[in-house]
Amino acid sequence: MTKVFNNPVDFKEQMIKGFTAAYSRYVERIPNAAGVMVKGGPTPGKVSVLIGGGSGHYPLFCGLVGKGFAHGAVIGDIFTSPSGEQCYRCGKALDGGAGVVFSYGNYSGDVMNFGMAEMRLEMEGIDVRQVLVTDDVASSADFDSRRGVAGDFFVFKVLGASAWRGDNLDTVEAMGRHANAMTRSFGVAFGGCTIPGQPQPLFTVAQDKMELGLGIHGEPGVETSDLRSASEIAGLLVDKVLSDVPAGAGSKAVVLVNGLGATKYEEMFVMYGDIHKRLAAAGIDLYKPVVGELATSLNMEGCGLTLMWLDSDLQALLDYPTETPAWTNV
Amino acid sequence: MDQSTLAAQCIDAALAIILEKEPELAQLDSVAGDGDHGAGMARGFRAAAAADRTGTAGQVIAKAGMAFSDAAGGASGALVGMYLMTLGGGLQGDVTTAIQVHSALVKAQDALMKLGKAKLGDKTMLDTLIPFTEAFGAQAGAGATIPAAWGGALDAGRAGMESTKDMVAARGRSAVLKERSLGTQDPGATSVYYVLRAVGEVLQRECP
Repeated sequence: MTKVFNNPVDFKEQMIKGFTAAYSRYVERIPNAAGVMVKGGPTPGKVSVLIGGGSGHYPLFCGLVGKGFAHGAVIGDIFTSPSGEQCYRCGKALDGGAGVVFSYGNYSGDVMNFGMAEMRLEMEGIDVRQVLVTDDVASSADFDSRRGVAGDFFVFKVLGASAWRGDNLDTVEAMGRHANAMTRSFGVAFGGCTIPGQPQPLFTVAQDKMELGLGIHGEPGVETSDLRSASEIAGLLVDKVLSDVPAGAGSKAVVLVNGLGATKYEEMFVMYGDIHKRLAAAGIDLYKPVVGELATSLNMEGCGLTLMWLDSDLQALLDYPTETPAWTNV
Repeated sequence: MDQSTLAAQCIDAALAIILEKEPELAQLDSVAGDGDHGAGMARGFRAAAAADRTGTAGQVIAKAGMAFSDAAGGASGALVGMYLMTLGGGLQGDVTTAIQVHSALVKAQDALMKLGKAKLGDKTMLDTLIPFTEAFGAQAGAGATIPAAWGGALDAGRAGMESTKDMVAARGRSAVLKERSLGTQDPGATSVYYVLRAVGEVLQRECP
């Protein structure tokens, strides 16, 4: 991945050009902005959802733009929040007259830049709401201070579905906040990632070690531990996520085992067998589990577990038909 | 030299020093961040140096700030961009006294603190800026010229930058890693010091 580039300075722009060329059946470029939107643009009279953040996380963020999912994505440089100007331009392009919801992982750069865009759009009379994703259990004891990782996928899915089925701005925002409140993640890393043009990875992990509670921008984990077997890692992920079950969670949950980029599907399936058994033994009714790469960190070696506990609202929105470059269901 | 040309030279000097120090900034940022602080600052100052340079010194700096913010992205793009825009906005018309400059520096610092919600001791660029601005104010109050006040305040900025080595990050991505950031100087505090020093050199050279 990080061996394929022309000029690293121009990586983002070239990536957007290639992406929109490949997936013009779903998306189009937002004119004069570093962003993409659903083909045809916003639907008049309906709420739009704008997601975004730095690149390096595909399918976050641009791969989740399309019918039933996000209306648009604003795209920053590798692991760098898009600027306030670009968030503003994309937000403005996406307003269909019923308001726009911004949603992104909780990182200080994104909060500042989306915040500045919100201020400008509000001055122009566009109603903007913000739903921050804070699913990473490892990053803080305080829920609102946590960073967003693979839980982005479920929160964006719920927001997008709510907007596409025609909910008003208050409802779309409330559904997104509810989805975030019900989502928890924890991840481990076995090796760091390399930014295009950089001579070495951001961090390295010793052969016999692993990092617990990693970030998706190549941040090392909050703690280093001995490398364990797949079964033991499965147990650790389940224990960490279940150590913080949200208030009001029922027994049903959608489950995601997410690969960070260099940990492959077969390895994750080996681990998933144990995760499935352990969650079922903990009394969780597993709904449509997914094993895949939905929030990556370039070529980082590692994986994580995400659960979103479901009620009938969230389940209906999760099942809402979707057509995007990276995710099509039901 | 007219003031807007001087402002433009300061921006060029900032770009030159950031390009020179980019590897060092990347290394500092890789300890508890994602190693791209130098690249982001370089992207920002490249755009700042290419921005429109007509108008007063304040207008030149404000336009550079807007260009910086858009090109750099990230937290540092928003923060440095906001700082330069407010600094430029605070430098109205002809700038003749260090008191005028100090007033603009304070406004810019206040805007930065409001946006980033950080304070002294949080291991951010403010740990360089706050002592620098305070020392600049003391020099200005004692009647120093702009280049003299700037040069005289650099030591305080350097001491502030060096003090971040013993701090634990309280804001931004590195805050999650807390103790891992201990022992490494903050990349934001470092790049801001280099820029202040480079601007000081331009002022000493052009306004003897």
